[in-house]
Amino acid sequence: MTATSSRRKLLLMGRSGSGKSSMRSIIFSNYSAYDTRRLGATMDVEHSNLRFLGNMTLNLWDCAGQDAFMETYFTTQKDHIFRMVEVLIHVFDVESEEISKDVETFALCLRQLSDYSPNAKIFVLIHKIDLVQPGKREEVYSSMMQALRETSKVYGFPIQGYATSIWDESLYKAWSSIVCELIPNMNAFESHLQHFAKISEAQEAILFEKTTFLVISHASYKTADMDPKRFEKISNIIKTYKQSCSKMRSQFQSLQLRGPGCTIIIENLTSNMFIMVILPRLEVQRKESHINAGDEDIVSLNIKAARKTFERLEMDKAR
Amino acid sequence: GFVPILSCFYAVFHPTEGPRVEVQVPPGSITESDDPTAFEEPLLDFDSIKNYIIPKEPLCDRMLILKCGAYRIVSHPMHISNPRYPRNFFLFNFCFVFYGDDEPTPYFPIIKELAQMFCTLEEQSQFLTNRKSSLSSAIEQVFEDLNHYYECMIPLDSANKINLKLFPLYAPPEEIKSYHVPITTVQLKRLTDPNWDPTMRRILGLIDGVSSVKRIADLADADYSIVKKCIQHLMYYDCVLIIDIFQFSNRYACTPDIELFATDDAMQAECASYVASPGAPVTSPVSLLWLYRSLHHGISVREWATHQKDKLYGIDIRRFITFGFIKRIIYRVHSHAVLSSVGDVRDEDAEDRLRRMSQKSSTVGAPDENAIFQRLLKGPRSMDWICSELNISQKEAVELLQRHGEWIFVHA
Repeated sequence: MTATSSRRKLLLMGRSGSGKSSMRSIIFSNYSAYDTRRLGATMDVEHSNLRFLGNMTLNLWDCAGQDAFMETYFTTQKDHIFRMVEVLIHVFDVESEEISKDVETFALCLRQLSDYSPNAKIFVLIHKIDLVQPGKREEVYSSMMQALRETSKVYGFPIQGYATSIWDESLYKAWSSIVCELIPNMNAFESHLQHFAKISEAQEAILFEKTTFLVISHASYKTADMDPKRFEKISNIIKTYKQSCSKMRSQFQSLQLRGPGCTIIIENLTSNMFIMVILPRLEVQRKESHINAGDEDIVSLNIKAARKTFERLEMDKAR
Repeated sequence: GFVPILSCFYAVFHPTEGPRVEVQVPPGSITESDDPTAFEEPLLDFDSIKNYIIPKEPLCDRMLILKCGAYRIVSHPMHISNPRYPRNFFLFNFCFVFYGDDEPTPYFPIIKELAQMFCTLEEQSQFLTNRKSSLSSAIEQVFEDLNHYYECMIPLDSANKINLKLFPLYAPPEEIKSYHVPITTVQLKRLTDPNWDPTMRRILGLIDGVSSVKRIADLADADYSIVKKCIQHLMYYDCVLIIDIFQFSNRYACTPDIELFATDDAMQAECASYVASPGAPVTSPVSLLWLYRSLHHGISVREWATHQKDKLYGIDIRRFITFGFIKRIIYRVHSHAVLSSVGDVRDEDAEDRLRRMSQKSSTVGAPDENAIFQRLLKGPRSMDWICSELNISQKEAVELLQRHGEWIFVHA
């Protein structure tokens, strides 16, 4: 039985100039943060259809934030905009001079969603956080989140918040979480990945979506001393590397890094996903280990062997 | 005159407010206004059309016409990309509102010109983003002057002015045939000057309402296609009308517009004075109507004139027919020659004759006549055309045809 394509509507809302279209172009259109400088303003709603993990389509509604447009979203266009929404991503600009008005707008969105899409998941992004002094960032984030949690409690929506900036990996963390919410069989991905990591005797295994390089899932062992932000940093680094490759008219296919600390292999797992396998240092290999130094090829073979299973998982998620 | 402009407004994309109307004249016509002289209610709902007045980039730099309720809005949005603007671009639109049923075509070139002029001004000196107050009065004046004088010349600042003029747009002239006869409607001699086209000046004196286009070309010793173009130019500017060669063998019939003649006193008076022979008493409108009505397919002018001899006393027949034709009260019924047989098909002579007729090098008759037969065998042609090409009368044409087979004449 062929899995039918599933379309998920994501609403991207926020004040004009808050950074919605810039985010969209970085994550989904391979813009660099610097490239986003030359973007113009969004007029009314910009629709993008993005294929994600095979047969899932993300229907992203980038809604312009100018007053005239926002007014119509809540009046003449409200059912068109707020119906069948799976995810609302509301962007707050830390530089905004009318924070209370922004929160009010957010409340209006929640009110419409409670009428038209009561099961929508809400994400709030406290964006352009790089413009806040490092010492004050936590404070700014917390106070915003408090105000927003109070607002959303009224309508009964739980919210997830992230502090983001296009200039670092925080953007990837937020968007990874957002798209993972849309994958119904996340648990299956996780358990299979863990199984794979165990067999490969890997320290860590990470699944990335092919085009956006957003993290889908990860399986880790002994992560006590590892950087908690490593996933989004890896997304950012590899994505930039991919862009450099394509500038030289070459497509990124796979990567192998050997170093004193570990060996890293990044390869296509399926036509929609990359897998990154981190093999530990030789000294910490277990005695019963069957893997010898220089056996990255075995990992490649394992990846090939696992392909079918993960492809099946991709098709399954439509249900 | 030209159709009236109901409202003129200038809209921009504002970086935080979005599409908005900056200037509107008359006040309150597009969005509500506090001005004491404003309209009570705007003509239309700007909110519902704002995405077409300030559209996305691919729809810019071209004319956009929008029908909104009972009104038609003609606009030409312009998009300027430049990092000096807050969102890297500036979008503006000068719009004109007309009644939905009106045809605003003469305004199209000036709306485009206005858009391009302001685009250049903005790119060179940021005229629109800096100086807003003078723009308001300029647009007001454009609105007033175009509506009253169909042209305007408004200074914007020491170096620039808005210079617009409305030109009437006429329908392209119909295709004319060699046997059509032009007749003047204005005193052409008064309008000419030495700078006119030489062919045009040569033929002007020959347009007499009697000579066909071909004959004019022959008499003027000028190229037929150029003469045809000259006549079409004169038609475009309503200086000449096309009528048929007047012959007593012509046939005419009434059009439905005969009803207009029956009810229009002015037309009746004009007719009576035009058709009266010099010195004769003016005929009554009832008689004129009766005479027009009596023309039909089955009767040639000659036959009709004979029957109506009494009623036609004091009337110039040619003028009578010409008047009716120009006013579209009657139309010309053409005779088309159709070959019905060349004798028995089994008759070898007949087949031969037909074959010979259709061959280019046939010697059925004179070379000219051959050409005619070639064309006739390809499709029906009117007798007018044959007469005009061969420069012979209707009677001679009929004789010529009947020498080479049996022809029937279809009147339509």
